[in-house]
Amino acid sequence: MGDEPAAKVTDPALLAAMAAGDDMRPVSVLIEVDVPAPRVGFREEPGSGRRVPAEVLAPTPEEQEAIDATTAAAGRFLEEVLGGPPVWLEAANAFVAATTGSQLQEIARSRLVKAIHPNRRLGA
Amino acid sequence: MARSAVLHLRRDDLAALPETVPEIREILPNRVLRVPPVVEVRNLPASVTDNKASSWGVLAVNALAVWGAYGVLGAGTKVAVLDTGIDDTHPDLQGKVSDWAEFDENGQPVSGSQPHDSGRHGTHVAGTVAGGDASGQWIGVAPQARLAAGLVLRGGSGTDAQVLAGMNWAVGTGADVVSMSLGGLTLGPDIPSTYTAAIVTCLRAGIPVVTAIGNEGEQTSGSPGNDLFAFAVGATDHRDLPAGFSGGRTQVIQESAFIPPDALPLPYSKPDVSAPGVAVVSAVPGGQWAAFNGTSMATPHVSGAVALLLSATSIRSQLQAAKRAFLIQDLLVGSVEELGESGQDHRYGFGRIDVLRAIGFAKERGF
Repeated sequence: MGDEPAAKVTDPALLAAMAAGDDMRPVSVLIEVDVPAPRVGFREEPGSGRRVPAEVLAPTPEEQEAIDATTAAAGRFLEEVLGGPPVWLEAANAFVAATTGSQLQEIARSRLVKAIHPNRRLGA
Repeated sequence: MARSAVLHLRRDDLAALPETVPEIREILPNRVLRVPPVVEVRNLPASVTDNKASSWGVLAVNALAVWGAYGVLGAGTKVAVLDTGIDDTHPDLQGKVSDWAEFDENGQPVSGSQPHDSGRHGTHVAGTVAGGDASGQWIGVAPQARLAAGLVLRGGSGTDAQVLAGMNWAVGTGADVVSMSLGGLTLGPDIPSTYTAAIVTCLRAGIPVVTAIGNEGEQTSGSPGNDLFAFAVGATDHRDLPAGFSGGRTQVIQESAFIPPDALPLPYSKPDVSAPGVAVVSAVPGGQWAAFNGTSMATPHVSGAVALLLSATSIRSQLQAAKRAFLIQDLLVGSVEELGESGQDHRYGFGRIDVLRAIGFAKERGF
């Protein structure tokens, strides 16, 4: 993900929302925190030579400490921008929040934020 | 997904929008759409109704043989079903729900929520995982498994935040497998990294994430079932033919923070496996039963098979969590009834699952 705020927004429609500033209803988004992703170890399948996932590698204690600190800082930053605490989804490494365009602009500028995704609707 | 946003604009703002945001490709009216209804099958083929002891799917994946050969019906395991909810008063599901949660559109738990089904889908799926024989016919693959039921699709649809919150919750319940008969059609190659993170978190805890591949047919797939790390399921019928609606395709990952650079670019195909998903009889709210079609119906056959596999073997005690889900998936893939093209294809995946064979392979490997 690039450093440019717009490059962190994974959906063109969210970019439009960002450009609309405060002249729009708040949009629900998923805000991904900029921490190292969990790494998956691969092995080569005998015979086919295909690379297949084999295990999830644990972060070192130092990495985990850095992840926790960045996540906590991101939570404080978002609470300040949004005027209230966002919902934290630990497994997804993301916060959920309803944001205006100008809030999106501010959030996208933060070095604590890796990406901003739309909160899409899924079906059964 | 739609790669679009809903905006409420005044006329002048609407006129100015293409110039203000040149990245916009198209501006469309916001129509009202409904979630496609689950296809209920009214007239079942004779070769389906001939199965008096169990639903045809329970027989086809060899669950009945596992119960007899190994004396296990899923006891000691927990399956998280993220769906429309569950009717825990259904005679086939009574006493089986150990955990319950409901999440709103922002992923917040709904305070004071009690087990209920906001549609019929979740009860049907849960019945295929762990339903009993209250109708005189066994409908669940692992009838002694416990259920952690998460309502994330109110009335049949939900948001990413709801589903991700459900996955987050499922890990905390100590579930052995997450069953997600849900998704949204995805045409592009990009997978939302929030789902990849959530699935990898589950895998790190030893929990496979079994997910429907989608009902839009060949050369399509739904997210999150199309994620490399999801264990995606296609649907077969009672003749072991792939269902026409069952999805599947090949994608290429060019870059990913989760994958070592030397493994990239990484082509991969979905689904991983297939399972019974046509004319599947299971529980519906109100103490009733109905036959549905869908990869949603195939998915819980696989989730139930994981419960049986864990119940019949020592995998959980012998293998560290970070490797466990991959072994479970390898065992299910390696023991399939291979159908269609040799190897993996877009219709069957590697083939239709056979949990009896999977347990046999696990035992041979010392589990």
